[in-house]
Amino acid sequence: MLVIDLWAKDGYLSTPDGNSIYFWGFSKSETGPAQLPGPHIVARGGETITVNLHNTLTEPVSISFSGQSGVTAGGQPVQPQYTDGELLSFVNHAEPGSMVAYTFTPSFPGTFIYESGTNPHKQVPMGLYGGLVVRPTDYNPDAREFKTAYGAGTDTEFDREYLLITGEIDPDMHRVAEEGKPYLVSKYLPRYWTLNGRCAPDTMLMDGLDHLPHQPYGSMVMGQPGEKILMRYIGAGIENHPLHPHGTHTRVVAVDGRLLRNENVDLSFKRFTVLVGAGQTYDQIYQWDGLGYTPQNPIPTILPNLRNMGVGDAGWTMWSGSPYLGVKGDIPVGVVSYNEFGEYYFMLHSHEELQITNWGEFPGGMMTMVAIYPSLSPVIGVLE
Amino acid sequence: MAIIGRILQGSTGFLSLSGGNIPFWGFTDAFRDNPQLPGPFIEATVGDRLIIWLMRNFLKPVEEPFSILFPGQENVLVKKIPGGPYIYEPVRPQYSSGKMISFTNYLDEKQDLIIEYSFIARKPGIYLYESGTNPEKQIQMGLYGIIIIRPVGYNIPEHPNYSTAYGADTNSGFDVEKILVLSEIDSATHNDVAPNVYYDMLKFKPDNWVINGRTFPDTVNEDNNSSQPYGSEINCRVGQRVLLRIVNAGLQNHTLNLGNFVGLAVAEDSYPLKTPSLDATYEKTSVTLGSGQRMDIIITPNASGEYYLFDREYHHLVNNDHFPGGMITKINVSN
Amino acid sequence: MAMIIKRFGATDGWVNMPDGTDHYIFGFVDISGVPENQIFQYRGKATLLAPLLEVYEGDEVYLTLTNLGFPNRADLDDTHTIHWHGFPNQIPLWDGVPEASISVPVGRDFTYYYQPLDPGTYIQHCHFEPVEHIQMGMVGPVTVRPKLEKELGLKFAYNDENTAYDREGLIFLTELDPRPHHLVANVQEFDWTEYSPEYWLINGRSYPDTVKPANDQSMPQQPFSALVEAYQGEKVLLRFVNIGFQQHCLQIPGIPLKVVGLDAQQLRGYNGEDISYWRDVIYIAAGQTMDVIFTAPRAGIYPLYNRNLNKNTIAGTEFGGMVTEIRVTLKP
Repeated sequence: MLVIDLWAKDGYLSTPDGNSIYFWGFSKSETGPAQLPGPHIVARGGETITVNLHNTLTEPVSISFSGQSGVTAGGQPVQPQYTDGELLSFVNHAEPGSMVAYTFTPSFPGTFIYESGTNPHKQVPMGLYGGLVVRPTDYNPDAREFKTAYGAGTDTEFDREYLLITGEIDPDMHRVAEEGKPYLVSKYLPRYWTLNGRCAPDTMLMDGLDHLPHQPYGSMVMGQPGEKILMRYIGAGIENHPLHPHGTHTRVVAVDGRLLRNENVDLSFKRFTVLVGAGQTYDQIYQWDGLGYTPQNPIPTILPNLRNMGVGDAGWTMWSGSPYLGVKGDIPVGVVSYNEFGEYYFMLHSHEELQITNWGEFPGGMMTMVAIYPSLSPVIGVLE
Repeated sequence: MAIIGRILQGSTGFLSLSGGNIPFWGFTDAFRDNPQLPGPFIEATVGDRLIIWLMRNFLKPVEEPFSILFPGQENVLVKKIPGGPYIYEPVRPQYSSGKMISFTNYLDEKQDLIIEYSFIARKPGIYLYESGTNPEKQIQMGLYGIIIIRPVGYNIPEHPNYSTAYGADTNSGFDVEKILVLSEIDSATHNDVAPNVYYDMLKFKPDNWVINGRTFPDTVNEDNNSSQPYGSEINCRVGQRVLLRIVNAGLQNHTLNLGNFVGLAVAEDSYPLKTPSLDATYEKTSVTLGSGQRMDIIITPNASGEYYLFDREYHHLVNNDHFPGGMITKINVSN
Repeated sequence: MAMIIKRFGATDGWVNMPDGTDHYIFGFVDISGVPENQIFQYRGKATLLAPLLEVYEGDEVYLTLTNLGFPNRADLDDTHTIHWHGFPNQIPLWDGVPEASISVPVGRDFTYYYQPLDPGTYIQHCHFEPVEHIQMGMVGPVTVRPKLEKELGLKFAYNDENTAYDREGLIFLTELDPRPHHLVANVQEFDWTEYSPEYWLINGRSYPDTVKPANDQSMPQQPFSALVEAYQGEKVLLRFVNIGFQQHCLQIPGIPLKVVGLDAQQLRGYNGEDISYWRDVIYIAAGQTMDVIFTAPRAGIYPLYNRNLNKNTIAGTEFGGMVTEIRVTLKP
């Protein structure tokens, strides 16, 4: 039995261009900050989950657990809620200052979204969403064939895993919500696009930074050559986003938390761009094997004098200065390199390129990197 | 192997939407007063020959040329009185000064009396029929409808194809069927539109999101004789197989959440996913349909109660910026 | 396996639309084999699309990018790159992301090396400030042909006889918002969140220009035709590419479409299952490619257009845009 308490609260998001944006989010504790996205919930198939939602906002709030059946609230199946005969919530909600307890037992492993089912045109874009990961019943992170997304024998083994949740922000809509003015979706025009609640380059920073108290999750995907990196995409916004990782394709193994396999027939497929649909999830395995070049097996082209090339035009680079993994070359003087160990960086971004800006300025928005390290601690890329 | 004949007209009328009554253009069965949105549902069985006559309308005509295009159908034939062709010819796009002006042969509202389209229902499924002339304007104005093609034997209890969408061994057996035609309406377009004038589609900004031509809560009202005749509320019992036939007739893409049920996708664009060589059916909780796409999906509710289906693009759940509205409908599951 | 040596110049130019408007672009131009003292004659001659890079699986490709500068914007010292979008197992040096390796300043060269091992339809584009450089036109097609073609002397999309075809067409989708093109030409900034295209293009052209022949003299910097011609009964491969910033839905009423590959991967399950599928509408997102085969039906003209019908316009003035024709004739 897993018991989770979530507080619906307000707070302020920080964007890399210096904006501070009012939002609503879920918090892990009564005193903690609202966060975007809400706290990750990681459970095991067959395990009963109770989520106690405490509403500190001024309007009713609920949580809809997409793809879960048999969800109850107060012991009864969840049902739509009405006010003066008009639909208000798709499921039972908590009135301001009160609490509702949801209980369900996930019967399928996978990646799911949880989000508000009340005034969803406002509450979901305002930030009341999060990710739910359900482990297969036979999950065992210490045994390779049992460290899977969908169970032993489903060809979904992975070495590391990352949750990447997309969203959009129209700061004007957030401001009218803060000021209690009419929230008119017809005026909607997003200026920021987020991965795990952050805009690039903050997406590439680590988890749990003091200066981003409301945005605890980074989005840097890290691994080693040949590893199976499980990327769990969740489309939490109201728009679809084509996410394109450089470096190699992903194999899409499941959608909406359902394995793409019928008995022995495998329906998984490879893509270099996956359209992350609103409210939908995509589990994929990214495996970068490289091309085999090392200082002993050198590249067939000549590396030019870097002083003649564009390196770190913005004053910084993530490059090592060397073609080879694990080797650091000479970066031109005056350019800051964030490269630590000669690791490789591959951009992962929305290919609707205006979305990799912060209010029109590149770089920003829905963008991060996949970092391939020559060696990497096993504690990186673990979801708990 | 019957002949299914329908006489349609194109007519102008009014829709009841959140912005009040707004003008629209729709198909209607001939000699009825009102056009309708979507146009009449036309049913046929595989092997049937469909003959659709589109007649000039003398009462409330759409005062510009229009046509019917049949996406998903092959080898569509046409003849026309008095403009010709007088014997069946394959449909073809129409040109003026070397530039395409219609994707198919059209009825000139001033010069022609009737145009006849004909094709053989080759494979089961759910299809759009829609205007192929100034389609950016005419389909937005409402000139579209639905054709349902049944497998042979779908209505014969002992037949293996009985009560299936795509025949035996396609996982498409159902107990309850509901057609959900998704679209969006820009009331400014409708109010400003004029016959034979090009409408600036850069201004297209829909403000109504509809299922079967209606916005919520009208979606949950019963079928009637209005210009928006088709309700979309679903009633079923626990354990029944509910076939949702989702059609995106809109100009935009839409994502429908299936009432929080996990549905089994059994066909896309009317191609069954289970074939003798491969079972490619798969499960989804929300489906994103591009413009013109169709999807058949079966949900099997396992608990009684009320559930809402909605566009997961939540901004489409409003009427005049007010939630609830727009693209929402309901399933009532009883024991 | 052959050694392919190519050289592309990055520069600027102008394209025109059917309403008579001209639009400033950035782009690439093929300068392979041009003597060094003549390459500057290619300044200002960028094409939309970039030249097709067509190679065989296993070829060794040396692609040199030379930054020729922008004669119309001599003040701009933007660097450029070539990103082979979708190249499996790439290393950063040749991936063309300025933040993760090298970009090419004005007057400099850089040679990318590729040995593609997976046949299919890819994209090349500049990745320097990609929202600007892609919208400005630095995009082009890449085709990797399967080695099965050499073994059997026929055409295939992938190394599988089920992907045989007789003819192929490119359906390369982009949009054009004239405002940033105008502002960039006039040394001003654009707020990209206001992006709102007015032209929708196939192969760099808007209908009715799409059906004009390749290298039509009226559009010297838009050399790609989008007209598809075939004999009845032939198999036609359409390579759909979307490198705009929107999702698009293409349909060809009367022609069922078999999708055999996505993003330069044949549709095969983990155990080799044939998971190709049929569609009436090709729904394609930005940064995706789709390989689609159809059998040319009875002779006639079949329009191919965007079912997001509001996009079939020439800047809101008349019908046009993302529309072309499939012309099927009887074999003589």
